[in-house]
Amino acid sequence: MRNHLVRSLSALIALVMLAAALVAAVPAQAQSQPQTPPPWEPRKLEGISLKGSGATFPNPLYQAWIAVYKNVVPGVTISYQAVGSGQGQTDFIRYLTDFGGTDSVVASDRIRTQAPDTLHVPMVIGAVVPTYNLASLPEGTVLRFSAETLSGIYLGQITRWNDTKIAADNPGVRLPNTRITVVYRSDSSGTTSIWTDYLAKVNADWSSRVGRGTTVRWPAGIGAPGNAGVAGTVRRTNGAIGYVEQAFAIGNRLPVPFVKNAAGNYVLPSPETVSAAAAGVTVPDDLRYSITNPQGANSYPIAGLTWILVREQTYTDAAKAQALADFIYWALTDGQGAAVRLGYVQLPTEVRLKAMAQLNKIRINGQQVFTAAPR
Amino acid sequence: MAQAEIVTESLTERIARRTQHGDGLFWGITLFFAVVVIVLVFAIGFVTWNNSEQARNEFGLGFFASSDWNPVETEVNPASFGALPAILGTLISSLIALLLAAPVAIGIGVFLAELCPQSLRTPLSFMVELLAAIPSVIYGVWGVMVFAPFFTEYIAIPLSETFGEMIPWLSGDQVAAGRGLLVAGIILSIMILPTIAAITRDVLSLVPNTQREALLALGATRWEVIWLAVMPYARAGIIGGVMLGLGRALGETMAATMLVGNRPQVPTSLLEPATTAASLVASELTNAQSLQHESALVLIALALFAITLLLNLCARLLIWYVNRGPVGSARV
Repeated sequence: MRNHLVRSLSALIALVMLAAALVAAVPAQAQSQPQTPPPWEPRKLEGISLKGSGATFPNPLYQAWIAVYKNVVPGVTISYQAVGSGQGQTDFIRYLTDFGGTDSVVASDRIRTQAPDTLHVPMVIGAVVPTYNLASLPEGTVLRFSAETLSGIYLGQITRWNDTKIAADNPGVRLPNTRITVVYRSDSSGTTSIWTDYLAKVNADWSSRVGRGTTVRWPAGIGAPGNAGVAGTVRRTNGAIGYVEQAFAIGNRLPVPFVKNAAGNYVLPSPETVSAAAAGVTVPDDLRYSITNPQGANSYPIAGLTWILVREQTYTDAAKAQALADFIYWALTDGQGAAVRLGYVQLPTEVRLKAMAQLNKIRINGQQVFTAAPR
Repeated sequence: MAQAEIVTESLTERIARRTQHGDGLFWGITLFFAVVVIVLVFAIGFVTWNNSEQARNEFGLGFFASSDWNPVETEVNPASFGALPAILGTLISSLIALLLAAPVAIGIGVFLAELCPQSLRTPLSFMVELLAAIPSVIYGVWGVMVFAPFFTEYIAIPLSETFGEMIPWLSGDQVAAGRGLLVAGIILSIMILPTIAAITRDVLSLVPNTQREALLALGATRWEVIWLAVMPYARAGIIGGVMLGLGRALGETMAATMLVGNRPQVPTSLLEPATTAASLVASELTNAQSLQHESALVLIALALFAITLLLNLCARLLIWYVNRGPVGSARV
């Protein structure tokens, strides 16, 4: 009886595996006839392992890239640990990793004193949305916020939802007399640094009293851990407002409001408006720049870049440096499809070209490691 | 003949001596394990002491009296770090947890060891131990999703609207947010309950039956037996269990950070957001703004370490104090 069961089970497993193999084989066959041969291929290096650590925000994307890249170049193994931007910077500067991931640029004095050959390569953009929970709003109503309103709420000056400033942003919406519960990130994070950078740019009081950083002294509110913690707290607290990466607002079915940009238009975060933000500011050559509160009629004002840190001069192993540059180049070109599918916003083309040009700067003993031109 | 016997004896002895190294080896291995623990404690102390050097030099002892926590320097506010909010928050939330959990847990332990029908004992004990095995993040999730909303709506808000007028510790603007020391303390009390209950039960079941029989022979009731003969005998163990629970409450990070509200300021109300030492360190250390910030966080960790050690020392002293008479002596 038992033998019979085992035999039929193994037959079943064999069948399933056969079916899976067939299914897998069909698209592989379809893919093996490319219409146009790609102009650039990563070098087929062997037996190389690259280590990185840093920001948590791009982690799902980096893991997806790493998994796919293993099929592109089987000889290169990449690992990325999502330990947070600050730890990522520290690990990179202490030469514990080959590349770092960070949502905030390495501070100028730190570059000068500890890591003068750090190159910032922007990878994708993330939008931060001020999401809220107001049970009494009618279905389908999405609030609009101006910079003054958001900073007033986070400074603790606007404490009720029917405040005249909120009402002025939202003509025709009946706002309740509910107390506002401000929610912020309790753990230090790149999301907080994008959010406080925005508030500091639009509000002089915020800039002088609170400042910008991965953790600040919040004038009001409660702290919740992680994007998920903030989204969850907002979802369960009537009258709450919190800031999260856009994907978490959508994932928690929380509203994504309009935010008034520097040009005076209320815009929703979308691939176009967020990408416009990265082009709406002057791009410096070292690519260390903030894209909050940009110019441009159609730019969404609260967004940030996420960077991979690489070394300009101090790689010692040429093969490793080549593999890393190939991977980043691949991610910025062929990997962009995965970024869009996972809900990240692509860099505008001119920034992407500049990012790829960073890779050409990597040198070992004066020898350029990566020569492919940006495309 | 005799000569030959001595030779064979000494031969087996020699073989034995050459082969039976077990005891010595075993002694060495266990000694090694014991030493490892001591080395670890000293290593942790050394590392936290070493890495908090900058904060110790810059703030001195004033660090523990300062209530200002501002990691970012601005034009108006300088960066400043003070441990008072974190340490007060830790002590208050742990005290709430202990006050709520200890009586209930000791009650559970007494019931399981002394009064419980045999058929109920195993399933009940199993359940209590299961409670101890639940990871703290699950308590946190349950607290955030179920308990905190219920507590806020039916307890915190009514409390602040009635007694809050008279008692400032039960009032505040942020009560509706549903995060604070009281709600964190209640969740912590559920977490430490099984630890205390399981130890109490184990300690009580080790009390010799002669203790009970002696008092029963004198015509004592069930209550008198437990109160006069069993509890005094087990006192030291129960205190140890309570202290173990307190240690867990002091160091709890995940559930605390999810429920305490994470506001690094000196608590003025039990219903308003505050912070605890463990939660502050865990939240801010990974992305510390500056070396000074990191150093201040490590110093808070060192303070937490010291508090735990001090409390353990107090527990030892207490046990020594209650045990200084003859074992099981009942003062009637």
